Amino acid sequence: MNELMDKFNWVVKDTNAYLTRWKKQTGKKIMGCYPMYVPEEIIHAAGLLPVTIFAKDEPVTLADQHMHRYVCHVVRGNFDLSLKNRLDYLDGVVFTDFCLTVRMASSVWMVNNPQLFYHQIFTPQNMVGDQTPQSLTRQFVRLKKALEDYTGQEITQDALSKSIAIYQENRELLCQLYKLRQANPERFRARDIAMVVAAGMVMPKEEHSTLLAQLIEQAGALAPQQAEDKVRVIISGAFCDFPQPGLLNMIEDTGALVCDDDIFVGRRLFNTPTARDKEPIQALVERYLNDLPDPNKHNPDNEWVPYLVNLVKETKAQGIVMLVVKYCEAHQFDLPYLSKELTAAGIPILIIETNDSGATEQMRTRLQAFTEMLISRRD
Amino acid sequence: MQQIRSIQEMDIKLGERFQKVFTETWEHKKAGGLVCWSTSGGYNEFLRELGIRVVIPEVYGMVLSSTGMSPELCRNTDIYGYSPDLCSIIRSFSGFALSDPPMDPSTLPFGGFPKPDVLFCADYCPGLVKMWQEFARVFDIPMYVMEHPWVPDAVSADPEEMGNKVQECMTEFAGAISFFENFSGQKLAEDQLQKIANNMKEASVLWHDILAMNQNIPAPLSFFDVANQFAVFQFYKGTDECVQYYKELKAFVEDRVANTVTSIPEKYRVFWFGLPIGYRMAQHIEKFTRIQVQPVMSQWACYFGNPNMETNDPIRGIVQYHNLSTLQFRGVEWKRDYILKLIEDYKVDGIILEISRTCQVINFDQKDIAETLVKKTGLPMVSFEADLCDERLYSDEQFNNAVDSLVEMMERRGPGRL
Amino acid sequence: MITAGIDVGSATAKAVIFLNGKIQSHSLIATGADSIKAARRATDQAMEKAAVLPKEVDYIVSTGYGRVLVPFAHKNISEISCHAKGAVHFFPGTRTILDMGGQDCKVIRCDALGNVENFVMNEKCAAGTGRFMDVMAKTLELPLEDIGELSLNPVGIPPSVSSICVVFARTEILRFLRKGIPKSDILAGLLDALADRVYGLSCRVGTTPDFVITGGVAKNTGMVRRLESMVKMTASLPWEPQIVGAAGAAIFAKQILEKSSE
Repeated sequence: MNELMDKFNWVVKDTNAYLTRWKKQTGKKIMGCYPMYVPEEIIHAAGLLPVTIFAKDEPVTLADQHMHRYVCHVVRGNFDLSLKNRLDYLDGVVFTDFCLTVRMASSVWMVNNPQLFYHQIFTPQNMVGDQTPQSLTRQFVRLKKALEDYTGQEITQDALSKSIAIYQENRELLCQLYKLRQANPERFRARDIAMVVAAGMVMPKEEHSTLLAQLIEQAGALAPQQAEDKVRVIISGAFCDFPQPGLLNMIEDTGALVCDDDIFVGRRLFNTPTARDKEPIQALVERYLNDLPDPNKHNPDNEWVPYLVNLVKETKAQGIVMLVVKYCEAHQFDLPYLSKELTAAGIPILIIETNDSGATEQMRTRLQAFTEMLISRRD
Repeated sequence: MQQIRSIQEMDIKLGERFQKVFTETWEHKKAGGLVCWSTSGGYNEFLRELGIRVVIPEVYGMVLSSTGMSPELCRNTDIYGYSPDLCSIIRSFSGFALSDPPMDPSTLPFGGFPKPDVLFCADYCPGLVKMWQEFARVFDIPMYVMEHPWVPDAVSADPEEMGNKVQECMTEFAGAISFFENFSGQKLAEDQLQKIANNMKEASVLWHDILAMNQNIPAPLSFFDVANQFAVFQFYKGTDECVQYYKELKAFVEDRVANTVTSIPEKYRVFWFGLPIGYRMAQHIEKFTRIQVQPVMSQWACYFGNPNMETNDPIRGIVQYHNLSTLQFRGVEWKRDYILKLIEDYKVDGIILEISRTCQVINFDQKDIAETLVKKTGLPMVSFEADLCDERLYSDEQFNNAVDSLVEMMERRGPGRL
Repeated sequence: MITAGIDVGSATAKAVIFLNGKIQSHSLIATGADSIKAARRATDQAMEKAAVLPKEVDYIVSTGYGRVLVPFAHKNISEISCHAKGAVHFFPGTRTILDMGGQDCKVIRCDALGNVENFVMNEKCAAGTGRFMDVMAKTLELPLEDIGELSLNPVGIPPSVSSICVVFARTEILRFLRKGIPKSDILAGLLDALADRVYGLSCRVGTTPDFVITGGVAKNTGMVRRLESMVKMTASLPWEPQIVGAAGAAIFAKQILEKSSE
């Protein structure tokens, strides 16, 4: 298992080296996917490698000349990497526009990285609008056409179906991994799980699935560990963000056990399936519309609180650690409502705001106090 | 020489219009009429014809800012758990709208406004959708969200996609009309919408004519004088009254041009890139008068009205008005070119960059745009941080330092353009 | 059974020796650059005062920012839990604790046993912290101990302070001084604004009596009076508000020992 983990860690930590080598070996092109919600299957079917653009665990420097400090560290951070030539493996970027910051980031990227191919999909915020499905369908078809123009090759229905199947296999494997984790969370560190998921957002899905299947086999064969005196928690939020490993470790070092999650580099990536037996574009549109509740999407029929309450119940968690990217507007707007409703449902919630200054001692104090509170509630 | 009327006269008129809106809305509500809270991004002009009175809390947020009430109301939302990073206009009016127990409206400017029966939100600023969701939960009333696509540079350059966007927006708008027809149980006559569109076009042309008069040297009004006057658009857009108001305003400004009257002695002309600061407007005017610097224009004033809208199809026209005119919803290159033209047309000597901390719509791409403006025009520029409503994010000291050093820079350069 | 609690804060290190259900002795020293050394010295001082030898101490719990750095502690517990536990020892009716320490400010709600029920902590804002008071005192060239009293006796109407960001505070204060506003009035304006921020924080968990204020800033009467009038309650002030966390740690140590011997 350690050998596999080393591989995942390396891919995530040294994405640049990994992808540069991959490009040399395959001669293929790489398309950056701006977090979140780019329908990667279409890019995959075009014969390109879709790679999620993360912000790295380091201070933002060059981007400050172009963006104010009151822009979230994800958008400032990944743009910073582009200015530091750390994303040179990219041939282009596909943006969505589900939030204001992402929406506006595309123009700033274009002006400052003119060598790249760009495409922006207009992803509706309103999930219940009369023409939302048609509008989104048109956007996905438009992406398909833009990629066809870019590569000079048609994307056949057959290729799309194949890509969907490859992605779906990967999602199902991740579901299996999470099932193992739920049953015996002591076996995994939250940090390791995030690394496994993140590696799959960088490397080709085919390769990731092969490694993932091995990991599941090896982890399943391990003897269940004895639970220590720990409390089970869920981490939620962290939209667009890859939570810092130091912070994930800190959560668990204070005596909590992360038994499941509701984060972007986690369950949010694979929970909602894409139907294999439908017209491919239609299937992708439905996946977007039926995806997990998200503060960025307006959908009164799919609220976040009931989803969280249910997840807590299913996983027998005792509390939620909510990771909020500072300046993530939609998420920040939901916090009073979330706190009120979850508290009313008897679920303690701790809100931790994150930025590029990393895991601080103040966070440790609050996490530890939260764990101590959960333990005293339980005993 | 005839007596030139003071700008205060128009401000008083504006105040009367404001008072009238709020008084009428209360009376309407008390008589059992329906009230809708909606957004300044529009599409709500037709509601009046269905017997629904519209309140635009954002505009009221600006009023709260100008009257100095915002900090107290923002503090309320701090207590409810809203981060001070969030838009302070939204926090200002929500500090009142969500107050529990409810605040006494008579303690508020213009007597406040009544609770809504229905909500209508155009999604040009996602923060508004979030707060409208909370209103829908708190008041337990229906809400209609209308997609409002942005136009980044790639789309500005793609007429086909642009056409598709307009078409989609028209379908969305038609959907909104039928939603509110059902809600109110009334039907909107076709000629009513046509009349609204015609009035919107006429008022837009008037507004942009008024702004263009500031190209005169000296400018008849400072940008701050102009800034207040946009408000009539927000409450009366599409009505005869709105057209009438801007006709009067235009005549008033023409009078000043004819008599070369200005409101601030004009040694230097500057461009204000950002938003006006309501809670310091008086102090800023006082400062600029003292140092003889006239802010003649801002990109902000151009957000309102679209003189190029078509009126043969009112639905298309109204969509064009809201969606295509709106400078703030465009990409970096489009905005930059637009502002460059403003700077040329209005013949300025310097640029003041106001950075509104909690408004990403305005501040996000400001740095790149400002950098190009300086590069291309060679004009001196200074910046200061502030915020629309939350005074706690603003420092007089920083503002004064910035403006004083701009004057020094302009002096070194000499009043080249005058 | 003898236990010790050590609270290594950003500005001061505190130690408490707990014996027979009572605080036997305490110490309070500046943390300085070496927090391990400070923890050691504080503990030594407290033991000396209580005439207790290191080997006689049965269990040590550390808390505060430096809690994980204390090599001789058996366990570390967050200062949020410790303040709740400690405050209930000082005032058994405690339900709300406002702790204003060197670099942060927190509001804690607890039950009758001192178990934490809910808490909030300011993120990065320095309002209500010792650090802010330091900046104020230094800029006004006044002794830190005097600013609270002075702020209660303004000469005229205190200026309204809009920005209480520590980044702007210095320039704002200097601006007032240039305008010739008396120091007492500037302090009154500043403390009004600071107390308002802290009050906002306390509203987020609610304030139920008894309301206890702890931490170094509890010694600032100007701040305490203002907060009392805002929450419309008299605050209980421990005889030494800075050792409440250390006392809580020592009580935790005692409870851990009792539990293990059951």
